[in-house]
Amino acid sequence: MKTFLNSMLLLVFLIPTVMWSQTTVSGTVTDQANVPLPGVNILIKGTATGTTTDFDGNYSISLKNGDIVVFSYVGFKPQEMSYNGQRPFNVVLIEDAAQLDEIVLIGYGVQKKSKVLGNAVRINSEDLKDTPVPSIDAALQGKAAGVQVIQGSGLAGSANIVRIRGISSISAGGDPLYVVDGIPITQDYFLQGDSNGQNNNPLASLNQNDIESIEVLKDAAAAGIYGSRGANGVILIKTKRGKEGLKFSYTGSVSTSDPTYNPQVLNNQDLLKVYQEAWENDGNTGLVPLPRGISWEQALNTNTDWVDLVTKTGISNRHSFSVNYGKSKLKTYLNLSYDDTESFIINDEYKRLSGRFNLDYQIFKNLKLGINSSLTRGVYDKVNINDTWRNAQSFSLPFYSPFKTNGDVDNTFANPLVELRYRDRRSEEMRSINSIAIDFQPIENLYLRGTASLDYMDFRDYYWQSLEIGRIDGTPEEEQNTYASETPFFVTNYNTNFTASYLWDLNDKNSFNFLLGTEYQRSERLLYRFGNPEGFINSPVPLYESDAPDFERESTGKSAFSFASYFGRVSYSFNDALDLMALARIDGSSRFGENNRYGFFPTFSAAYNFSKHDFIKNSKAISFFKIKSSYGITGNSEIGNDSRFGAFSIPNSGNVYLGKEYKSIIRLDNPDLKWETAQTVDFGVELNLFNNRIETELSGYYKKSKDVLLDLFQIPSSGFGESLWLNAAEIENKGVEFNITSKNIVSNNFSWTTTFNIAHNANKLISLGGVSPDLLEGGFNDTRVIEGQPIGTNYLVRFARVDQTDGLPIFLDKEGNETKTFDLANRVSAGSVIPDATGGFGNKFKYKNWGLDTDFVFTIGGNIYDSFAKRALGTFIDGDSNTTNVRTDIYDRWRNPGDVTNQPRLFYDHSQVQGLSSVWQYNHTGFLYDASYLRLRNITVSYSIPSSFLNGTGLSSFKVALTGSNLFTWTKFPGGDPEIARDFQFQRDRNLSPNVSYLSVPQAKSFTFIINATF
Amino acid sequence: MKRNIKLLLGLFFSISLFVSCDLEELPENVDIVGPTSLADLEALLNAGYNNLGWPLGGNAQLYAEINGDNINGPGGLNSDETEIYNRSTSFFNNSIRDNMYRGFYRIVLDANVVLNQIENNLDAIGVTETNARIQEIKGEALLLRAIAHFEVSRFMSHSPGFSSDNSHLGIQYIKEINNAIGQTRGTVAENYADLLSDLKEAESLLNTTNSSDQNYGDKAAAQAYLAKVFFQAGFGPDIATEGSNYQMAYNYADAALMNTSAVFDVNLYQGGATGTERFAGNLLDNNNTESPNVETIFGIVSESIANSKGGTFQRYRTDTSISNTTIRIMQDLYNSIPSTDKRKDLLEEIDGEYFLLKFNKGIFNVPLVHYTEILLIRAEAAAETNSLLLAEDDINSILERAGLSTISGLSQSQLINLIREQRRIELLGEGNRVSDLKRIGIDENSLTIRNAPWNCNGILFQFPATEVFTGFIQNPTGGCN
Repeated sequence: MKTFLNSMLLLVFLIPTVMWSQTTVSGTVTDQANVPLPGVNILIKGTATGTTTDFDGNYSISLKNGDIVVFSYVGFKPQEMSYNGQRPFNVVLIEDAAQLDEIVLIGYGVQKKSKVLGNAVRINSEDLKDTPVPSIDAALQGKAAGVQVIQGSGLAGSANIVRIRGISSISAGGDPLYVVDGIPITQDYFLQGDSNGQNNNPLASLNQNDIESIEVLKDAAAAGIYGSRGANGVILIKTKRGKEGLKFSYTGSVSTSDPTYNPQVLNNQDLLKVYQEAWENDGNTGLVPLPRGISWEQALNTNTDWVDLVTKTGISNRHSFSVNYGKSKLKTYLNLSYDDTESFIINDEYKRLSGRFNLDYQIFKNLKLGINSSLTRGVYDKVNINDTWRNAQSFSLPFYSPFKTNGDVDNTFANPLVELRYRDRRSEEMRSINSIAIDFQPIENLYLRGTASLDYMDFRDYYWQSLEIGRIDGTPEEEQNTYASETPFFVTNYNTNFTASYLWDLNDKNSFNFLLGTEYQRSERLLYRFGNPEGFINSPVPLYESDAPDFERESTGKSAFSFASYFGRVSYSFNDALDLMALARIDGSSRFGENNRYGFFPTFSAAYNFSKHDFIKNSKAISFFKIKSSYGITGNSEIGNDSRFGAFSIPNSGNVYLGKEYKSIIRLDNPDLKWETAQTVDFGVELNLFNNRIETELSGYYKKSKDVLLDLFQIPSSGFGESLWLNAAEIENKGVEFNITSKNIVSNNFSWTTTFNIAHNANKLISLGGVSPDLLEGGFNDTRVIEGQPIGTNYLVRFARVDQTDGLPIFLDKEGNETKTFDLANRVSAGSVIPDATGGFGNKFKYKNWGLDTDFVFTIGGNIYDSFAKRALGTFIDGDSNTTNVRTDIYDRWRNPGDVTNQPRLFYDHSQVQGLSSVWQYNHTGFLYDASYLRLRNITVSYSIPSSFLNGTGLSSFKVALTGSNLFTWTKFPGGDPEIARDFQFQRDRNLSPNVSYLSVPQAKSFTFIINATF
Repeated sequence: MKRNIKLLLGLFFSISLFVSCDLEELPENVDIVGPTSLADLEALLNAGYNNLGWPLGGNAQLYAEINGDNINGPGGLNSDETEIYNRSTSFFNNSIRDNMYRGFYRIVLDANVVLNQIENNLDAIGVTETNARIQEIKGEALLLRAIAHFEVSRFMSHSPGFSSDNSHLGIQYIKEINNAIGQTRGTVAENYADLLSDLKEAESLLNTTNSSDQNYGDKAAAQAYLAKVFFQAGFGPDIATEGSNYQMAYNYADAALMNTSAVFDVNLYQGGATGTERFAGNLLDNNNTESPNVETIFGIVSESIANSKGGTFQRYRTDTSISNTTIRIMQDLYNSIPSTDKRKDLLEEIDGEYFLLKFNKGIFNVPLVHYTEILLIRAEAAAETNSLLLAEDDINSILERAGLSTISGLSQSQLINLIREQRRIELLGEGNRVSDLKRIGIDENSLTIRNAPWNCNGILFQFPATEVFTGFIQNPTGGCN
């Protein structure tokens, strides 16, 4: 037992030690197919002496006769070999059906998978598909039960939404904590504030080629060590590190990108018919007057396909070159990548150049230095989605011409060409994440680790518009002039942590593992505003191209937060069967009010492994059986940095009235402001069958969140204009998750593995702490929080049916009686934003050198609210500037008495619907759709050229693959892509409104051809 | 060796503890310290004055006019304004109403912050309560608090007298600084008691001329608002023991006109070079603004383009271009003004539509109470209390200035009607008309406003949805169309 633990520890801390030599023996480690295995751990049993194989599976080590050598490698059964003078000392490892002894990351350390008490899911680099989405969290989709990933959209710089085990926050960020190589990185999606819904993606600078593995910590036992920031789960990302040997690797790919959904809108002829019908329905006679004074003759002769004007097939290229070098004490990994990602929207392109350098150096046998360094430059050339994608299918009518008769771009209506030709939007990001770590083992079984890191982000947003934008009658309008601005942000985030862990094996059966640690983090964001009062300058070119110095920038101070934390963990293991763990973290943060400066977050967990019991040992079916449970308290601290302070407006702001300075109160202080508290109870069963060929895990959880943060608009009569953060609401989440991995066929030439996972989450707002839900309203999306309902409930007037006789819509009032009057007072919570179940399944086939992977994702139940359907279904034409195009499902409308349909007659004027004061308020359940879908997320065919063909070419491997993404989707939603991550305005919007569509940009359908070569 | 290890360990943790100490991150872009000098306190008060421009820089005046019978819609109105015009302000999402409402309570907050500081923080400010300027500042804050509440109450509640004991619902009269939690509505009786209490205290604390700036509140301003409050309560039960409401309105109007440095502007409708304008200001392309009109008892000042006020009045503007957002005036009003009336020059007919030229400017000095308005209150209050000769005197100055012949010997009701007609024309576009109609309706129950009963539900604005919490009683809807 003790020796086993020792060897484990060495594995864990990767501290090979050097011993005096006797005979140097070398050999090769291969798998059953004779493929060399790089990175195999080799250890002389009973000692701390070991080494690893290089890329060609070669190793050398000093042995004496009689030494027992242990060869272990992830995914293979460890093998013990006795050395009796064999030269070369070659070993063949046998694949292990169940990778139980995989080493997985846990918070502040690693752990043998079989010993993990918490609920965590791991994604390895091989599952990170090279698709044109510059966000690595996409790889998690459908892979982990209870981890809901909604891919942003097909836009090149789009950010995803990851929600672990439901939504338990309202105003505070509900995203998991992202920790890269031990560093909680800057992950604010709203650095630019509400940037017209197109938020920056803080994960865009992480290069997927650098990722070794991603670990998702779901429950308190796993995430509890992150204390006040663990309540929404934690995502641990580990980057690749150097291995023994010298190896070069190149991966290149080219992708196409097309929308998964092409807007189905009317052409000029059909739209004119619809208008005329609406006009006559309202009791008017004659030809309907067309918007902007366009004549019927013009309209009949103009048919612009606006969607075609703003879209294209995007072509993306990616290149990644890496060098691995490792020899005795020094191991390095170096990567250089360049990506150019184009979406299907014209002028939407993300370019990224990134480099990474990781180094490990064994200074002494008990002292190791590790360095991680990455530098990324991202350039996102973007367009405003309202002005292009949305207008193209709505406010830009098919009978409008893009050009005036003199050839100018027509700027007198919502013309997408104005955006495409005369405006320039760009974000530039320079991001560098660096850390240095020292591992020190002063005495046996005591491991000290100190890490210091720096995450720096230089983010600049540019906007420019051309002189041409105000072109009138052939000449640019001088008055308008150009408009150029630059908005920079600089975020410096540094982190230090120290941990000490000690292993104590009391005897063969009882062992302890202690961890003590402290961590300090500080993140500082420098704030600027544009120097001159207008907020822009005149410039003939965008400012990123201009030589103009940065003098236009004026500092407006900084916003910072800091965390100081102390944590400890005690694990106890009895007889390899019972595992107990207790951990606690104390978190203090500058964000918390002075009455609540420090929070205490304990977690307890227990697991019992029945595998050693006879009934398992004797069972032919069951090969592994473990139950586990945990209880813990975690928090969410995504509060605004300065929210706890009472404040008066900017000092010396230059605000004057009657020649005197004025200054007003902004908000009162909240000394009680603190984290959200989540109490989670978790229960899980792991059951493996048939010699671990089938692995299953079933878990259930109950999570109650208290003191949930509300960023409350203050009641207007309070006079405060700014919202106030307070801890008020209470939320409950409960759910079950199941996943299964089955190695259906495992043979030398052919293998087939199936994975399946499904999760159900039920979410309920228990209490809003007595505040008006209207004070939380304010995003684009009309979902809200209602006590007793899930977070983010649609609040709509109920639509009952269409009156067959006159085609008018019939609604239900609050009591459920039919009425033809539309009254917002009759709104009720309706539908469900949260699906009944989400999940994914996949199959992996391997035949000799061929591979075929398919990944499906699905959502069952829940509703999408199509917020633009009130216009897109042609219900109202409504005069001049408000006029929109309509969707082709308008053909199902009521036309004549007796028609049975769910679509009312056309209306020219919204006042035809009694009680409706504005067309934009026409939200009702008729536009609520089933959100279920099944999507073929990925299908990949790959082929590795057999190594025998590569002899003499210098290549050690060569692989080609073709991946198709989002090729097929099965859905009942008529309004677009059923996977919606709308253009969120702020965190609450991200939490509350994932399933509200408003001409949302669909996902990309893409084909990617990938080559990978190593030499 | 062991000792070294212990030392090292100790060093590790002490370093980490050392760096973990400082958790105080003070925001740099806002001031988190309250006032520490009299100048700081004055800056807080000045915010209240500045914020008058938010709701009263034309918004409140325009919405009140739209609610009444001077404006012809819905042409020229946006969708939120059309809701007001249709007298069906939705409780939900009428952003212009929400914004105006919030603006009034912003002024209330600014005033309450000043009062709170005077009550609790004089030590930090470094003055004593007996300081003369502190007393004046207190009076100014009370005046601002009363003005904002009075304006809100005119939108949100019926005039005194709507119920026999004024027990009908009014507004929330806010005297404390509150965090988030709302307050239920008081009755109109309670609101008017609060208004009187604040204004009377302000009257006693304020100087005849403000010692800091002549444009700040003074005694006459408080008296003018007291006159307005009593006048609004005209037909209701008496709200003060000293006299009838109209008698008190007369007294305070008289006192205000006595105390103010404002004068009756005989050049107002003169036109040409010598002519003056009530909303003196200037065109946007000229940074040299005019001084406020001489009639201004209390008002908002536009100093420069950078801090210009009254922009919403540009919605009437006809001198740049007339568009589908230019406000139209009722034809019957236009027709009711004889062509000999100089004030007809402030109206114009263009293609069968009628426009107001009074606001053909880019920036405005906005008088909130001016000599003519208070004179008209004095006249009507005199007529109501049967002091007909006093009333005749006052209304004759108005008629004379307008180029009309003076009157004498009219009956009380003839006189009252004449004063009301003159009041409508004089104060056109200034947001008083609908409040007058709501006041007169108490006396003349058959009164209609644009073909709807004066007391139909929708004539009152709905409270914003954000104001309504469990237990808050919203205004009833409908009944006006």
